[in-house]
Amino acid sequence: MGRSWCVVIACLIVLFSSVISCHFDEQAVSLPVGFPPLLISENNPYTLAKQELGKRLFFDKNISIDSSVACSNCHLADYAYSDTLALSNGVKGGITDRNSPSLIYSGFSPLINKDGGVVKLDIQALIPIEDHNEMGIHILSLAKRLQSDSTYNKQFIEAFDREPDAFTIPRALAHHIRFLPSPTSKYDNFIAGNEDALTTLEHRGMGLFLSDKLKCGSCHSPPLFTTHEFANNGLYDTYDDLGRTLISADSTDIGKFRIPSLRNASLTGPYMHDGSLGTLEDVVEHYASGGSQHINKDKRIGGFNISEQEEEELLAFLNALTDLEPKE
Amino acid sequence: MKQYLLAVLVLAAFMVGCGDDNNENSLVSDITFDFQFVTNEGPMRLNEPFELNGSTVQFETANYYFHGIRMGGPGTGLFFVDPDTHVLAGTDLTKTYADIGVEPRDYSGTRIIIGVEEEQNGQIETDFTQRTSEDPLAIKDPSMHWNWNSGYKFVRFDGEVDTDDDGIVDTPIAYHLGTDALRTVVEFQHDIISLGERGNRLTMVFNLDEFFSGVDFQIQSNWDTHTGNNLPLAEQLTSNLSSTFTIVQ
Repeated sequence: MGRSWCVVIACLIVLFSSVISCHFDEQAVSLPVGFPPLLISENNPYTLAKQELGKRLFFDKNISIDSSVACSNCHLADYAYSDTLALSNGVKGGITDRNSPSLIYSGFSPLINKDGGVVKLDIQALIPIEDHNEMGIHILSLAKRLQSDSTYNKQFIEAFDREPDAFTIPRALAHHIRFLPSPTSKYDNFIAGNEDALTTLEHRGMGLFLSDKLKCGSCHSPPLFTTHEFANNGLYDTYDDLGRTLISADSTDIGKFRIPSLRNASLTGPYMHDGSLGTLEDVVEHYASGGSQHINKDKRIGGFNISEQEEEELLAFLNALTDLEPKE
Repeated sequence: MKQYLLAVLVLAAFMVGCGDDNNENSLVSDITFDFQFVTNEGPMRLNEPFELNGSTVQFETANYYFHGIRMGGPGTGLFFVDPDTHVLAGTDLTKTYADIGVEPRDYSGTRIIIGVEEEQNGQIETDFTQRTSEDPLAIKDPSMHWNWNSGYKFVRFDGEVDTDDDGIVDTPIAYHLGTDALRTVVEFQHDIISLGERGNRLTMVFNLDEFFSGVDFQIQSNWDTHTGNNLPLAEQLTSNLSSTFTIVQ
């Protein structure tokens, strides 16, 4: 009888542990039905300790060479973890090469960065850390700096069972970023079954967005509002930034950049890879014009006629993609 | 007396036989490579200006990766010295191969592959952040990886060039070759190298005059390539690799 109780209690402990584990996952991110799964590396599963460490690093200016720039300088929570500049400011007067992207939904992207040059979020942070125009510090130097801070050391040991190093630093930061999604927009409420979540204007805008006339949805398809493809959207006749070609060394990739998610688009301006279009109105105007005649321009971009009323509806829908309960 | 003579002959034959067996079994146990960078005028030293293609240049960084090294000699095919190991070559680096399994004899040709194998260059399963510091493919300072390009810099030269003839090398130059498409097999003949059973010390020589052949350092488009941003220059330098190397004993 005593042994039976022990077995029952053991089973309950196991069950309780698994419930706790699921609970943590749910705390990390809650996704609506129909959303794709977050891409999580086998060697970097979710833990609260990693998330807290990642958050601390994200807001810490001491991870740049002169302790002047944190990740949060260019990725502000109020702007869906992007900023308001065309190009951002780094250490020692440096200016970034590209517009600061929104980070919130990057945990779903099979390739990271605008040119897809990073194969997983877990190592992406190495780029801004080492880039002379961003944080400008070699990852091995940063590891030494963090190792000399006993509070960081303790957190890294707790989170990864090892000191700050080239493996753990970017993975901690990735942890913070990966679990930022909070799909709580009016659109999400509408999809969840609340038919009143969208106004008439926004609902019409959704129809236009997905229509054959505008074809926005063919590149920015729900639920993430991106297909993750690389496309040349006809922004220029010639490109100073070659985009995907920098990675593929293929001239047919010149001017191609990863199609961004339009979630929170109303907060992430200026737009395009170089921040050259200031507002969503400018973006609509660009696509309505059909863009340049670059040989690599995507066939889906052919221009369209849009009335003022329709543009108002389309912009209203884009505004309805803003998360109403963003994480910090 | 005849019996003695017979015994001596038998013993001699036996000893000769033993000697033959020993020769068949003896193999090269080790080769250590040093790495040197030279111009046609002599050795290149890091952080010291020198003349190259009519310009004054200086390099702070000079490194390259190779793997799959094979050697061959007159009348023999190519033997693998080591089929797998990636080696990071630089002026202050050495590489020792052990238990090589080739005959101690003369060799006059070598084949290496410049770059990192595609599987490891992709960094999906095992990326550079997971490797121990002793691993040639681990993160290095200066960096031999392209974290933005998900791969390694197969060849890296960083330095400066004098572009206004004032005797000061102050225009940055950088030559970073990589991507799977530019992984290159280099096969070259060299003076006879006699490998013994142990204690072999060779120098792999990288000739900058050959590598930078046809590159005018006064032209701005030749000041840097990170491969994707200036593919024609990267391809030209990669093509020059075929005449860049030699090995001396």
